[in-house]
Amino acid sequence: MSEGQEQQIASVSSPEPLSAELQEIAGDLTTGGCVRAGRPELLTTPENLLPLLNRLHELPEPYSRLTDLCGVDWGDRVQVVYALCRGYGAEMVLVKVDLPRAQAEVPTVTGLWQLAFWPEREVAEMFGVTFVGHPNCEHLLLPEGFVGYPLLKDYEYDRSNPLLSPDPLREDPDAVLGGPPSEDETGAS
Amino acid sequence: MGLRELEDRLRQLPGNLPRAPEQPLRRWAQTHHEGGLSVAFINVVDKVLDTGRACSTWGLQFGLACCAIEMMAVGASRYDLDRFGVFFRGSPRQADAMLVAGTLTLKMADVLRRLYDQMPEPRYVIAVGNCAISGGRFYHHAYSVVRGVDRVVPVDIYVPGCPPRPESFIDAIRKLHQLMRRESIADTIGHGERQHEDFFRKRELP
Ligand code: SF4
Repeated sequence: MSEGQEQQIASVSSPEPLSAELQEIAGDLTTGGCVRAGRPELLTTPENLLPLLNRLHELPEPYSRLTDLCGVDWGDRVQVVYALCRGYGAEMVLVKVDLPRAQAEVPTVTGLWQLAFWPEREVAEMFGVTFVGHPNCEHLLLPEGFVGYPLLKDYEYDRSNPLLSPDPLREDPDAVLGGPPSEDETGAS
Repeated sequence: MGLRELEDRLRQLPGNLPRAPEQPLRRWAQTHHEGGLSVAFINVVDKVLDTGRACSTWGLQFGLACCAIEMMAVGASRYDLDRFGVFFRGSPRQADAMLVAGTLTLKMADVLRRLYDQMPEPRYVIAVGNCAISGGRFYHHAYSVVRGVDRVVPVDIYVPGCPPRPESFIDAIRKLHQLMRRESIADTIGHGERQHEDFFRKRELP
């Protein structure tokens, strides 16, 4: 393992404080922040999300690219993560919003980045997050009429669906075939 | 047909089986044409048709996941399915056999069934790979993978492997040809229904 990798792992396990620059830009709109693995992370609330993203978008050297938008289920809360990049490199900042599982609502960012149309649809169907103001939040990958949010940790698939149900022959072969073969059947006399 | 209707249909099917056709053509030949000659004629027609069918099997390529890569390899020059008369077609209406290679998801199940329904009879299905047989590695927890193509369409030949070797793929094609050469035109009328009945009788076992 190279020295750089070791350093990286060490810095993942022990987050460092934010840089003064980001602290100054975003300090009043965040509820926390740190630098993990050399990448700044800002934690914010649904109300402050759009002002914060707007501000990052309008810096003199703006974080103008949305490279990823995804959801995380932490058990007690659902988190939506926005990954923003700036310049031509991969200088990235993560913006994270914590949402209560019971009422996961967050404003859409399709107004800032039209690209967010697709990942927001995906997060909505997989984690049950409502993106308020999204132009067309139908299922993207799941079939129409699919019930439930499959990427939540406590999701169980529908075992009564004939296309998905476990195979009885595999689950309980004895019940299907009437017990293990008797001695005369196996030929052992 | 939406997913719900498909599920409902599949829920109903086992209790509501279509009758197997009792070789109507052969019976007609025996009763109306003093036996022998027309039966012999049917046999000759069978030979010609079966040979033709087995020597030129056009496959509906249904590559759904990684196994499709294997299917491409089998179709390309090294393993060369062309020498068995197998050509991949893009349209179900020109195909004799459906080669389902890969993971069938809920969203695709509806489409698979519809394409199968569009194929002219007699039609055959080969399920290639563990995913197509039983859901394979997705069997235990997946929320979206159909546990085997045979829950949606009747399957003639299963090719195990993840993915199967090209040789087993070719073996499946040879087996399919043997199957075709055993067919009689008298049986293949209503082939689909007959297969359906066998298929659901088999699945009804449990
Ligand atoms: S059986 Fe294996 S190789 Fe084939 S589609 Fe499934 S996972 Fe991929």
